[in-house]
Amino acid sequence: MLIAGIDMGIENTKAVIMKDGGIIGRSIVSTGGIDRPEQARRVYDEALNAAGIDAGDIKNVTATGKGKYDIPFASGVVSETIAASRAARFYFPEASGVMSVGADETIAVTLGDERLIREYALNQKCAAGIGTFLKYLAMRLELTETQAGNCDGPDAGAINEGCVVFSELDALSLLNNGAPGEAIMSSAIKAAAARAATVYNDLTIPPAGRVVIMGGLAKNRAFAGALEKYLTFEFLNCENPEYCGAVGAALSGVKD
Amino acid sequence: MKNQRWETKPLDCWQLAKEIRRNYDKAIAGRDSVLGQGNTSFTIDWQAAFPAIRVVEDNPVGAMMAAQDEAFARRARLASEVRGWGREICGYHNTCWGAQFLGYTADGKPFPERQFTVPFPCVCDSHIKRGQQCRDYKPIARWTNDFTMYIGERDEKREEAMLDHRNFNTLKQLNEMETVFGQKLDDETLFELARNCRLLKQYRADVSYFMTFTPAPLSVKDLYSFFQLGSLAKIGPELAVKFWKTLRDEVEWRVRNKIAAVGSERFRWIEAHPPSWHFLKYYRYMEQYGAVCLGSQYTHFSQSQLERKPDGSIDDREYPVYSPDMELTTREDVVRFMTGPDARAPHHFKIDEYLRPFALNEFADIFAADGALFGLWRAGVGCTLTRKEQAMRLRQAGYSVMCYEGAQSGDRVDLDEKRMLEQLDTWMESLGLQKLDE
Amino acid sequence: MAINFKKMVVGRHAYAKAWKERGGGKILGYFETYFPEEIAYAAGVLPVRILAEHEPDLISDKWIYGACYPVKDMANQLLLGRMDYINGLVNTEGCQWMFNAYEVVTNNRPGLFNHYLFLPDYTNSATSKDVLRSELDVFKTKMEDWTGNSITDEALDNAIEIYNKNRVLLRRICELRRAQKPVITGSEYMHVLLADQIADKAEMNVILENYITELENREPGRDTLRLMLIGSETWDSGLEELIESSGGNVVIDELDNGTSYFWNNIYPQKDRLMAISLRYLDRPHNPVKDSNWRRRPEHIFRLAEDYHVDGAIIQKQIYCHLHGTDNYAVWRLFRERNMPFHYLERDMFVPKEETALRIEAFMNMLREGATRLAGWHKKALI
Repeated sequence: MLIAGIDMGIENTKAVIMKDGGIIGRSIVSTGGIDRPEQARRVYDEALNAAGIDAGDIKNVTATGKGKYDIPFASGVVSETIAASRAARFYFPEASGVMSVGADETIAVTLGDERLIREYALNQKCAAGIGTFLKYLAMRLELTETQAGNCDGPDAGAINEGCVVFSELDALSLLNNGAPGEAIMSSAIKAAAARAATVYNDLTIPPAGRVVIMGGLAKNRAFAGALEKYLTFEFLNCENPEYCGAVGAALSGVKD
Repeated sequence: MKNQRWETKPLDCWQLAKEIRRNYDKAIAGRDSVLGQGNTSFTIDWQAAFPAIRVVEDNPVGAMMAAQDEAFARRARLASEVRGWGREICGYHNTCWGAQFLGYTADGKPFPERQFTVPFPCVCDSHIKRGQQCRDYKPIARWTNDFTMYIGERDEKREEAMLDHRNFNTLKQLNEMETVFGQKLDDETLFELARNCRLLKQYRADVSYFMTFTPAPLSVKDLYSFFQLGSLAKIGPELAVKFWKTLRDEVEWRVRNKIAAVGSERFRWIEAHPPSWHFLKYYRYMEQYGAVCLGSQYTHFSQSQLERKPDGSIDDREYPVYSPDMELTTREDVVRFMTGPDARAPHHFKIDEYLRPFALNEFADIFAADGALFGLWRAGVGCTLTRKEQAMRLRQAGYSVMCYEGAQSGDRVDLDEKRMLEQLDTWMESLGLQKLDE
Repeated sequence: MAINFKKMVVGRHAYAKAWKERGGGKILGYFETYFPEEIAYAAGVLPVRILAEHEPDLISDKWIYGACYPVKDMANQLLLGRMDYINGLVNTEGCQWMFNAYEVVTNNRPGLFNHYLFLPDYTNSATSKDVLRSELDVFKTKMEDWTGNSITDEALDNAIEIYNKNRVLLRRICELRRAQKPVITGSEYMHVLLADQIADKAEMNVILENYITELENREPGRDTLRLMLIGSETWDSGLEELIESSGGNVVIDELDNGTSYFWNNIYPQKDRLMAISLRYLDRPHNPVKDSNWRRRPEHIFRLAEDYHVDGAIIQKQIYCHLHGTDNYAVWRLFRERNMPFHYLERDMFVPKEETALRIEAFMNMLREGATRLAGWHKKALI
């Protein structure tokens, strides 16, 4: 059976085509502004091309992500928490939890036995935009995504972890005082990881180990490392963590 | 969860409620009164014992303005904020006060001029200060009082001192109002009001009790509509008693015959404190999932409080109350009756959470809830205090809890309605519930 | 040798532990500066203020929503066991967020001694003093039961004397700030006050006496712009230092943990608890206690005049609802009386670049002299 999932996030839109439990095509594009439906169509077409199949062969196209209602051709929608949880179980059947950190949203899940989700926690509004903050700070510091992801060395001093706006002001203060870009990035990553950890700590039944990290920031090695230090365990890593939402969406389109 | 269809039927007493409301509007329109800001009381409507005194409270005024007109509410809020009132204070107040600064209300009419302010002692820091605002605005008569609280078991010594303090200041206020406004407070009317108050309290307690049954006989929107009749919006003591007796009897009949407010009821949830008054549509939205709100301590406990007894039954919590036969011969007696013998009253519905870390667990248990939905208000300290902790304790006990964020229930500034509905979808989906029309 | 008060504040945990080892007494942490320390002290207990600081906070979000960051940090520190030397916690009714932190901590540590002390918000009713006296009596009994020490009249007199002396010494230092070239900077003074709130007052009095001698022999400081600091509690001297680095000096404050902490004394009377009650009801109030006819704005203005300030900085912690209810009245009074002020919101951190820019702009405006005589207030809204 051929199924598709599209995860329209604040920054990027990801699409996957799956066949019989395997991913046969995927693509990622910038979500863009007002042309979201076009971008969804584009990423979907690219994924179909990569899979070498026609849209007519797809049984279900399930959407997730902040922009899930902006995908007119989706046959269904599923919330991000459900999609992330399905993806975690897909990649790691033994997984007991999920930590998904994207451009905008942070989700922590304790997976269940009878039910897919036993408990979940979402970020507070003032903790939204962690990924976007780090992305734009890296641009300002003239660091590539890879370089930013390697900023796990000495930091430039504490940065506010309570509010992204204040974090940015603190980072700019450090920059104006001549701190090196890598050290500022290191400070910012630690602050962002601290805030993400608060979401995990909201769970009353934390998953005992075996937590899958996913979302765009899972690729940021320094961030994931800092988060692991705060949470005092190591994550299970997927190969392409930014696609997990799309994978989970695709799987959600199939009735159990 | 089982998909069961319950029989449902509109409430008969809605007609009476609407009639009362119309009469109230007429009575207010024709009454030449000295208008004040504050709250009369949660117990006795003392203003009715003055020939021409009327008190309005900022809370409903601000909430109604915000619900009626978003653009006006934002303008009013801004008018308050630029003058220094903080973003963190209650939205009820910022909207209401902003309208006062603007000089007109949401419907374009002049903002009613307040000639005095009376206290509304409250646990909430933001509410404590509200008597100052309209006095800052214009030199008018002003009285104040305290809300008293302590933690732990009842302590007679503390009770006595706190009650003396409050009663002294209430009596002082009533006596001085006579002098300031040249109006005689009718003590006989006060005694009558006190007697009616007892009946009303019991009928309301019965209605709360009936909400513990499955299926729920009333929707929370019914409860919020009736809640005002006889409490915040005073409608005349006898009529209030008549209405609540009628409602009580009808609700009992619904319980006996398993008549549901929502025929698809399959998930029952509780709340804590008021909802976003301008966005009550989420209750209907949740009904698509067969999810029914049972109310909150705010809905049920402003007049009564239930508890689970050692034998498993549910009954009124036992607070010290004066005997129904208490002799009321002086104004001071009525003042004592109004305050009650409990220094931590009448805000039990709020301070219950402050005093007992498992208060909402008990509430959820009594109302046979499956989960809880809590508003976290960035600008509502009194409402939000302990909310996160109570949510944690419910989760630890196995209840499913969702929290959403906003400024305050009377403030539409940062409630992201779309985000909230999506969060509700997530909540329901995580529990394996789909919309019933899908 | 010069006393380093900043070091005292940083090393407060070590100080408290050493105090305990020396005398074996109990330590009581408290949140609000309305806590009547004298009674605890008379029972042989060391009252220690819970001071907010900053460390990455991973857990308070779990328990508290909507509070200011200092309060969240207090809860964080206490839950993480940073102050495990305290034997009990007490909260005097005041800021509800502090109460929230108190609740969270006591609920999580059920064995910890705790007490909630009611202090009227309506501080000047005819019965306020009586209800507070009753509360003090309840607390006194509780302290006696907890410590096993009887609080005699002599013990109370001794505590009152030590605390009164402490307040006089703090005021003496404060008075030195009236000079045109004060020998003490605002940041130094804030550290004196913070250190005072964590120290044994008898020991602190000796330190303060020596410090006064040191100050009296100091060369005069700089003749700078004189500023006043008003608003939420600040917990550190970040703002004062920023002002100093911009060429100004905070010469007076009206903060709960600033001058309001020590401004008035206890006037002894036979009924010791009544004397204490009157002191706490008569002190300069924070917004929640100034809930009757407003007194706070007038007190602020009087300080501003007495300390000859050129302008005031009103700073509010984000989520400090209390100061959000008073700024209206303070702004209005300042505008009516031509007192320049600048209002800013802050977090536990002071964002340095942005705040420095604002403060420098404000100070440049003051230097230009464009405020007092220019009638700018006429353009104001109110």
